[in-house]
Amino acid sequence: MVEWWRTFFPTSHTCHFCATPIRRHWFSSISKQICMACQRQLPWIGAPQCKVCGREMNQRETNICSDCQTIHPSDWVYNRSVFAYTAFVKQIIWRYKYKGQEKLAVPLGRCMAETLEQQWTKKKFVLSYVPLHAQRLSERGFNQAERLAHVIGRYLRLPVVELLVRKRMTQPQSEKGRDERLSALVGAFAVHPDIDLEQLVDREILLVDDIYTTGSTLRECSKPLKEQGIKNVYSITIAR
Amino acid sequence: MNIYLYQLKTEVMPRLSLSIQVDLHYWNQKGKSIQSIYKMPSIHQANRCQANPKKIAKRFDPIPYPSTNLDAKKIHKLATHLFDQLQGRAVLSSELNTFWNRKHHAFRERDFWAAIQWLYLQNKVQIRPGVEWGRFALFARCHRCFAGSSHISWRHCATCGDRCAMCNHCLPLGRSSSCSPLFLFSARHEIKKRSSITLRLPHPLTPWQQRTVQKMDQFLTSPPKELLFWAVTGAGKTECMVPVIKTYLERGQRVVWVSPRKDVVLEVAPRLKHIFPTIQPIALYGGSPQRWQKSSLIIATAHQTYRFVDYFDLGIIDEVDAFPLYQNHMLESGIRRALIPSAKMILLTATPPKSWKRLVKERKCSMVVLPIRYHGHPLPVPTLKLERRLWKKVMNRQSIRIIEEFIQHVLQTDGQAILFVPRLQDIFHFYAWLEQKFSSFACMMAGVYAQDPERDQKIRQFREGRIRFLISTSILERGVTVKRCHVAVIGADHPIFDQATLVQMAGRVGRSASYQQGEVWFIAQEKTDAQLQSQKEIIKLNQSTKKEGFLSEELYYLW
Repeated sequence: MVEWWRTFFPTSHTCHFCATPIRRHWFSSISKQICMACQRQLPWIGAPQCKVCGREMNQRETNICSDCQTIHPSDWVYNRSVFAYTAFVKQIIWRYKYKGQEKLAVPLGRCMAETLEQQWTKKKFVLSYVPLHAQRLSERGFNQAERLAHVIGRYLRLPVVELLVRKRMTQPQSEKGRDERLSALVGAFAVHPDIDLEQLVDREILLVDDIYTTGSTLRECSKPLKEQGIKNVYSITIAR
Repeated sequence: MNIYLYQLKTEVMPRLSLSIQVDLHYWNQKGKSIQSIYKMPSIHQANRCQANPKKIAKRFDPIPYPSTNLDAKKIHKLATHLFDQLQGRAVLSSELNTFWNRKHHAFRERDFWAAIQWLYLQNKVQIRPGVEWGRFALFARCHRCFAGSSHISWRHCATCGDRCAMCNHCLPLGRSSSCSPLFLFSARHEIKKRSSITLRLPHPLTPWQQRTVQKMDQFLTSPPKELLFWAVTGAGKTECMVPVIKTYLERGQRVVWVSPRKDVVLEVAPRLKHIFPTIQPIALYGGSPQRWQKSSLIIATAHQTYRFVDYFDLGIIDEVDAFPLYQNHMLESGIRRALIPSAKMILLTATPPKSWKRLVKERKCSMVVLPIRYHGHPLPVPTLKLERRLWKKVMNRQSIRIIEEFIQHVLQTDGQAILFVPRLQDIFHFYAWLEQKFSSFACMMAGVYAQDPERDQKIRQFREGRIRFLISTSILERGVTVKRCHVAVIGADHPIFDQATLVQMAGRVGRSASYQQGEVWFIAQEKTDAQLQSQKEIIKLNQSTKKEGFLSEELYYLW
């Protein structure tokens, strides 16, 4: 009996990240759809940020952080992240990516969409995502970045295009150290054979990924795009 | 993992296979030949085709016969070994994969699935899709956790390349979807006489505990299958169950102790381990390292019972009236599936809901009551205190005489206190109030809630006595035993505090025989039914023990 009763008289909504019942409205900001306990643990990245990689900075002497200064400006990928990569955020991403809680794509995607709206209001992006190798994809059942890109696209009314393919299988980045990360992915990505990039040359491309650590994945992804004439590549991730 | 369907020459009904070589070998030995073999994209498709055999030839092309180079002896040996390890379990293919990765990496993956297929041909394992639906999506059902269509979501799945249903209810246990097969292994049941088991009970059973054990022995030899065991908080439920568990284990049968939450499992398991030193009981919970071990006594969270099928002969279900067990049909069906059909169930509770008491009155369910604590002292009776504009005063940091009185009382009796509040935000408001009014004790106060990252640490500090005033939501209502404890329920008129919750909260007090000054205060803006009923129930229980003579002086039995 309980089952059909609930379809007519649904119980109150729950927080997106835990089972706490809260009062929420679908059209309100995503930060108001999260319970107080989760809210306290979510480290939103605040105002002074590195212009390039979106790192939270303490002093505002320079716009660009020391890591980005070592990279050549033509390789820059302009990144913004929603949260700092703390244990709580790590757990949420782990639940989404490895435990297969695909529902989490909606709140996470909306967090990213709202960050995008704040950071780059006037840019008309074409969304794309970091591809997975076919074998990893069939193991996991879904591409986490693709799901997020589609949520963002639906929310901000931006097109989502599959721009890239992965040429070879690589070890997960999470299992490597810093130096390995930077070198492991060289030449792993290529432009999708069905895509004609000349149509997109004057558009801005935004890549979606889950975690930004050293930025090597996103820089590798941007290389084949830049080779074919795209000037600036932007990216958004959940955590960094 | 590959899934095949094939038809025998004499049969219309297609048969399922995980490793076609094994089937070719098996039917060859039986003198039958296989007509056509099809490769299926997922178990869901295979299941559909089995239901409608005419459609296979239309939708799929037969594949050529594979070569039959099979080391049958090796597969047979591996199959017997696997059955010994996996009997009575309900596992998904992904879980079997991790099992193979951890334990049997010496074998090739192909041989592993061949051995499972061998067991399937022997009818020792059933294979089903994790989520199944018939003609209508509305009737979709998860075979692992019995969840209905309200818990099932549809999405495009890259594993099977098709639209695929996935269960959100049992997701923390691993994804059950329509393209992941669920394996239900049957179990061997034979009763063998085992030599008697030595017990290491920390204390001998009290006379009133012994009396309930006798009643329970009567139940075990009688036809009814379910027994409600109502023991008041702090009565020594675990110790009472020990003789019952012992009789089952001595017969070589298997017992499961089901608890609603992980913390309770982690508390009960070491105690039972100490009591049964020769048995080596194992504890199962999310992330347990003993996941694939075997034992005849298993302490598990309710959700872990989804991983067993027809395995246990006795189920002891602790705190049946608590979340998540109460009124959860899925978990109930899961526990029933884990037990064999003739198994007995003992339901432990400190606060049986009204509907169950009515069932007992109507003689539809038998019940054993243990209305007295192990030390023989009566239950502390809650005092109802009214305070007008309680929360407004807290918000405005005005003085609240009753709460101040309570805290003075706690300090005078050299005790500790749990201050229950109804909602999460009340913790912060009340903490600020308390900090302002009793600034000299600020380092001895803390607030704790379910998702608090420092939760375990704070509770440990409270147990050690370093924190004297702990403000908490209802998470501490069960399973916390602190010697010098007082309890105040602030805002006891909030609808979240029902009768059972209030009785449980009152039960935190006076657990130790040597400290009986503990008091329970319900502080509210108005009297509610829940408060009055819980007070009445405690008074009634105390009276009934007096009537039965438990409380007479000569029975005081202190250690």
